[in-house]
Amino acid sequence: MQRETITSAATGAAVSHKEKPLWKRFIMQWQVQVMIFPALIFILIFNYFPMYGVFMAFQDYSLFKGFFGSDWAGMKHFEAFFNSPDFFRVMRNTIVISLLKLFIGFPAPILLALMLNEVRNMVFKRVIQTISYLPHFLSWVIVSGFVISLLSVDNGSLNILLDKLGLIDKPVNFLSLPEYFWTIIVTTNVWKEVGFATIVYLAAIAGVDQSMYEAASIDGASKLKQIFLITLPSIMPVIIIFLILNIGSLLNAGFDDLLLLGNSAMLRDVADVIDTYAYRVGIINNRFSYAAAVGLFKAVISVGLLTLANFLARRAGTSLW
Amino acid sequence: MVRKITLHTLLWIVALLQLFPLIWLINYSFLKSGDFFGSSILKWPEKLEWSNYINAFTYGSVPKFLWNSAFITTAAILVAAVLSLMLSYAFTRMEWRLRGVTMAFIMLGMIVPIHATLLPNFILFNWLDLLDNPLSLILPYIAFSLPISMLIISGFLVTIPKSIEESAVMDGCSVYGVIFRIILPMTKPALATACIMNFISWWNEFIMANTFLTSEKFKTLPFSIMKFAGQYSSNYGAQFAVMTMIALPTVIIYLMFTEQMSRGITAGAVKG
Repeated sequence: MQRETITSAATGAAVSHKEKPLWKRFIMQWQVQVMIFPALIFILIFNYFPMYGVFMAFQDYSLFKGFFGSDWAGMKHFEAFFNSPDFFRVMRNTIVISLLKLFIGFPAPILLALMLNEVRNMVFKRVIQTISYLPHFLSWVIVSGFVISLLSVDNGSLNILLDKLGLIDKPVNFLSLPEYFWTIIVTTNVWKEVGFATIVYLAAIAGVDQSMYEAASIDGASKLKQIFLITLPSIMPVIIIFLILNIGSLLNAGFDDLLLLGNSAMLRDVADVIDTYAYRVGIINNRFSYAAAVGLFKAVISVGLLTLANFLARRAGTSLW
Repeated sequence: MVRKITLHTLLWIVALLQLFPLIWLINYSFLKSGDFFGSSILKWPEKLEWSNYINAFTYGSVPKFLWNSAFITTAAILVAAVLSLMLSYAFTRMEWRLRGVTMAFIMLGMIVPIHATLLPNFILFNWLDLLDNPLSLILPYIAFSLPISMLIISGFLVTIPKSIEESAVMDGCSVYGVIFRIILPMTKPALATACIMNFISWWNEFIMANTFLTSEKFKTLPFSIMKFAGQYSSNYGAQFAVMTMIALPTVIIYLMFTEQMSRGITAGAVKG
């Protein structure tokens, strides 16, 4: 009640505004509308409006004819994608890269958070945290720039190191050999995001009731036992929610990193995932409708995966919705 | 005791691994081009080779890219800050029909992945004749900043008591007076968090910049590395100098505001 009177007093809107037609009331309240509408229009145009792109998947879209002038093509582009030699390769890369990122990138921050939680010296903890968050704030352009340099043949540090340790005879061109690519991508990703991902887990661990640890140590439980029997079960809901989100985005194998590090034609066989493939054929080769079909196919599967993951989580006792 | 030493050693190794590429980057940006070929991993130069930075500035039209980056990022951040402040005020302090729906609408905008909008936005900008125009970056940057900024600011706003605004309204202050003269100074910490996060994402943003800007005139700083890698590929020193220059502002800002930022992020995460 009070809030309503404040706003109406502030905007100068009369109390009897109810009787006037909608548009007149709308104009009279322009001061309040200005607070919402610009932001709403921005989000509508740049976040939601692009969704019309999914319809392009069923068209033969041409830039000159526009959306309404282009001919409808039915499922043609989907069939073309499923039958293309790229389909199997792109799907395999997407799933493999994504699963590798999940298996290694998901437990890593939990482990780091558990380790950080055991540190009693606050200054030391802060220093380690600050350093480990840092890479998250670097652009992929820079990260890929120095990954390329670190791994290069001429004077790359990794080659120098391996040579000094006597593990290799001559420098290896890591970034042009397909067999190394997945390792490089996963390592780089873990390196960049591990610290930042600990923030949430550390916050969850901080919320655990301290009296449980006291009781456990009186009963003689070791530190390791306390981690497995108190800390991990207590933060399990958070872990499960993040796991669901990760499974739901299984087809998001990455974009910037793959585009920048897997740019060379030699790596296309192992580096092409759905998103980078759609980007390349769509914007670089101008096959808009084909790219839209690839994107829509991915979106449909992703929604299915998210629903499945949530179903599994609900059976485990926690769920997103 | 043994346990503590193992733990600390492990964590130091993690920290070192996280930090090494950055030290390496800065180290190499001060080397003479001839010094690169050798057999050690880090090579401390006898004297700092500032000429790499000078080269980067003179050859690669870096000043222009730097200016473009600064201009585009600042414009996007400022507009996003004003809009999300007004939004947060309307969502937390006013009661109106469809408020919940509108809020959900804005928050759901966060789910839309940027690369899914690339193609339709490319067509839209082509139609509006905005391709190769700074606006083609500023506008979507603002849009993608709004949901998260609103989340941070309104999360902070609900913790501020209403009595100050109420007395201001009694004294005849308008809504905008309340927002910009009372709410703005009080929400400074949250506004700063939102601005820093937006700064870091847009300063580093690369895919949209590479897609919507076709000529070099308005390209932003991340693009300059691509250009260096192609055109001046032998000039390693200058390449590393450019990378250091791109990384430095984000690193400095991050180090200045770490505390504030991780608090802002956890506040949102725990509530969500």
